[in-house]
Amino acid sequence: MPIQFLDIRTSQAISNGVPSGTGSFISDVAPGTFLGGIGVITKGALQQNKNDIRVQLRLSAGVTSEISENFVTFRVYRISNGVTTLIFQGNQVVPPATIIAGIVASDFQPPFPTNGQIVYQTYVQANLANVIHLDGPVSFNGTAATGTSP
Amino acid sequence: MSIQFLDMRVSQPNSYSLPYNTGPVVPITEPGTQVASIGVITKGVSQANQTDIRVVLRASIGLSCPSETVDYVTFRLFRIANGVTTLVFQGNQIVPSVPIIAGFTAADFHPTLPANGQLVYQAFVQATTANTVHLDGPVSFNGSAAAGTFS
Repeated sequence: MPIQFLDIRTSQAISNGVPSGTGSFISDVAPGTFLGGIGVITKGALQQNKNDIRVQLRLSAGVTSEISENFVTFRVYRISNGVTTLIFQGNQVVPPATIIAGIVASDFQPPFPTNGQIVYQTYVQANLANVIHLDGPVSFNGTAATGTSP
Repeated sequence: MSIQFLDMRVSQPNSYSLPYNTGPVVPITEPGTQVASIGVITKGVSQANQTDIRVVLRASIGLSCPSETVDYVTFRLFRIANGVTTLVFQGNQIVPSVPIIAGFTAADFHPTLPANGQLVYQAFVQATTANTVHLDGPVSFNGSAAAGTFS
């Protein structure tokens, strides 16, 4: 069935990064500090395209470690039909300097949400308490399409 | 109103990176050097969706510092609409003494509707220390726009 564009959604919690090492500390308790959430609308999907949804997700977060090298864990969850599912998880080193860390994640053929909306939430967790600053910027966004050429 | 796809635009001024530390030096004067620019066309937006535009932007920029040297760069994205320039994203990134492809994703939520039907986005890079950071490439900057929702 024809390829359909479904939606683009954005969540940019921090547009302008603060000076290095002055942002709030990232939680070391799983799943960590909430970074952003979007609701991708799938209501426009044709009946025959409901099982072929693809979602591209992208996250950027400016982070700084105190004194020594540490690491963070990024997680992305899907909430659909009342079920929360971890769909992406990865670790990233954070040097004692500011970096804009980022991920690209995908959700392939997620269950079709009866309410027409797939919610995605992203979190970052530090390996230790009070060692990694969330200086920003923080931006999380997603794009969805479905179907293919007949 | 239903969700509309509006446009996607790309700007890749530098597709192949140079050997490291051979690209032009990144300046330290704000806002730095412009590395890429796109014009996202919003003319197709319906009347009902004009105040619900969403733009996602992505950039990758190859940078290096000479060995034993470290510096910070600041990335900035500006929107130009109706003759007004607005900072929409700003972040710092260390450039270690090895080449990196730094990158980020950014968003512009509910920008002003441009009377001429085009939102211009410009990406800039500024260094902290003079004559230190090299813009070796590659440089790629792209954006996609949509508007509206389901009622």
